Amino acid sequence: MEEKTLSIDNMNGGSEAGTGRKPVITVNELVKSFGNLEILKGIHMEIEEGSVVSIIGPSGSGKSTLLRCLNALETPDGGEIEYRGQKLSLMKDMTFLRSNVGMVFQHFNLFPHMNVLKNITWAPVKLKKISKKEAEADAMRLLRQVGLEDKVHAYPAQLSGGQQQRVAIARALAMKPDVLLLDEPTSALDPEMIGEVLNVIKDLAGTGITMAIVTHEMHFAREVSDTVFFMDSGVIMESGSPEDIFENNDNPKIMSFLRKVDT
Amino acid sequence: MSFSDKFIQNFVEGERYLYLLKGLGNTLIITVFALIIGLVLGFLVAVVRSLHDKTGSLKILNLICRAYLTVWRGTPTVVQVLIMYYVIFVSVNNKVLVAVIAFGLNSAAYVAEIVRGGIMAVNQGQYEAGLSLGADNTRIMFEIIIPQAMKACLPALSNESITLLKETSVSGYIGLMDLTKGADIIRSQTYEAMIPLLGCAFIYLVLVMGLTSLTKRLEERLRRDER
Ligand SMILES: Nc1ncnc2c1ncn2[C@@H]1O[C@H](COP(=O)(O)OP(=O)(O)OP(=O)(O)O)[C@@H](O)[C@H]1O
Ligand SMILES: [Mg+2]
Repeated sequence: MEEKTLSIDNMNGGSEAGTGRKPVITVNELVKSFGNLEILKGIHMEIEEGSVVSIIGPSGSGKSTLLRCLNALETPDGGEIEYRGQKLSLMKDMTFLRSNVGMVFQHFNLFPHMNVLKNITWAPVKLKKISKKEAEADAMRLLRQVGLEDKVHAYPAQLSGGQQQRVAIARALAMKPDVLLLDEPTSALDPEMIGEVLNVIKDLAGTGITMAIVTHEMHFAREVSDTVFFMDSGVIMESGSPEDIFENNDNPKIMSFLRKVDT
Repeated sequence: MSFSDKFIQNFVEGERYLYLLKGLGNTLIITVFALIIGLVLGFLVAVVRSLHDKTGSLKILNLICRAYLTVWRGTPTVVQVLIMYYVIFVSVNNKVLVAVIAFGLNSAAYVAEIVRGGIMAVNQGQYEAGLSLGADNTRIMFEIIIPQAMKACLPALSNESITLLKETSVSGYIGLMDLTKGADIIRSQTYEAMIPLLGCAFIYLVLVMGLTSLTKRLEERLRRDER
């Protein structure tokens, strides 16, 4: 744990230079079909250590499917994904990958039969064999980070959507993931709760953790991302810095998409 | 003869109440132990079937389970009890033991489908949340899915235990004196049908009502835990 904190600090220092960062995840020629329908049609993508990338694009373009391939919730039909140089197609057991690549879901998916503390400590205690005491101390720290210390003994059903999503983020962070994937973390929330969750994610982005976020919140994506990927019909149509995508771009597809979402 | 005279004739004279008492004892023993077998075995069958559905693993075990479910759910309970006693356990003289096994296997087939239904009703997102934290299928099944599934299928399981209790009344087919058979013996001795049979029905009713209120309380407690 100590080492990890150190390396995150180093990464932050390194990011000032902005060059030569190692890729954590590499995607090559990724193809995925459901039945006869090809959803991902040859995706190329690289996620660098310590970077925050967002994936935007129209509904049904395959953003969730792409994200779910990254932690092997979906199995690709072609191409290759590498996590720190290791090919996913050669891994016989995905649990190692998944304990390093955390995920936050649109619908939170907290465990309703466990209270907040148990939701957060379950995986570290059961899977990483961390002592209960240590895991609980960690959980309290994470709950402070997401502003929910007072809800430690509450059950998910007693929390608002925004609070549940913040607990879900804490739960994912409790495994100390190398990469965090977030699939539309605010889409299921009432408007007044979106801000609190986005703020937590923004703070997180500042800690140097590697993140990939699928989002329809364009202002947020522009503010928080190092790289933005624009997806359309199963391919990454364009990628670049937020300025490249949101300002200096003349792609009619992207411009029409941005006009539609930026009301 | 007045009602109280009949009552005395049927239950008190010749200590006939003992038929009911011994019968009740057997009925309870068969129900309780068959229910334990039914829950444990049914639960395991449901887990095998669900893990197979979710991951494609456990192919052979799943086939065995499916064959078992088809046969046991497709044949009458009485026939199963008769086959167990006269064909499979010919050399076993302990009728209660045979009945426990026969009813246990029968009940497990129904429990399995109830629990499997409960497992399928748990949101797929729960499963994915477990996977995304790095847990394996078996752990997710036992620690995430089943606790939620059990809550969902508790009413159906409570129903199944009531059905089981009532179904043990066919135990007389293998000459086992359960509650029903006990009442019937009294009837054959006193030539009085109404009193012993109504008495027997009344005892079943009390047992069922007891079971119902017990599971109601259990359900309420489980619900309370989550709020
Ligand atoms: N398990 C599945 N089985 C069949 N089709 C699927 C499955 N999952 C996704 N799809 C289809 O794949 C396509 C892309 O879905 P995906 O969820 O990746 O899109 P998305 O870009 O995340 O869209 P949204 O912005 O609406 O979330 C959709 O047409 C969807 O219906
Ligand atoms: Mg999606």
